[in-house]
Amino acid sequence: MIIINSENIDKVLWILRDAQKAVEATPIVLGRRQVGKYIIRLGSIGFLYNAVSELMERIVAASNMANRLSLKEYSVVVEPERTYITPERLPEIIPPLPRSKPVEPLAEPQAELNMWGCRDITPGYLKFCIGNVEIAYYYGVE
Amino acid sequence: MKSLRKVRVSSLNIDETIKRKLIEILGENEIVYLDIVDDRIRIVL
Repeated sequence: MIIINSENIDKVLWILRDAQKAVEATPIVLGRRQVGKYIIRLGSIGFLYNAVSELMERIVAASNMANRLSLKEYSVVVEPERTYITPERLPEIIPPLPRSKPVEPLAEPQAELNMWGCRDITPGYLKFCIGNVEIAYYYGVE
Repeated sequence: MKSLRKVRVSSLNIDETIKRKLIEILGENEIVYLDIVDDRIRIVL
């Protein structure tokens, strides 16, 4: 459950927007990012993005409703299945949302080519070598 | 591709073991293309 008091709504929305931007900026291929003490990996990113977006939508909808009802001081209560506003001043419950920071990029995968006994690669040729003889098949250069 | 010399497999002047293997695979009358690259002989099939 998340409870936000009316005076902190803008601040929480900015923090969520910041988190959303951090998720958006995470490369998909090497999706790994540290948020606080958590490492978020590829696969979690989609869920996290949806969660942050949904939370923002619910808070914005709730605060719009409070404005229409001309409520000045209120609390927004976000539960898993529903969100509501109450004029009661409830103690805030906001999960810690530390600023994200990038983690060291993953090491490039190492690939070793089988040179088939040759010292080098010749563009356009598939070849193998025995001593100083190269047996090559020309497949062309694009 | 630069112009390469056409050679019959049986006329190749290379290590006999390699030549025998090439003949065994390609046949002695097969034409291959020969290129000299630095100190190496390139046989293009």
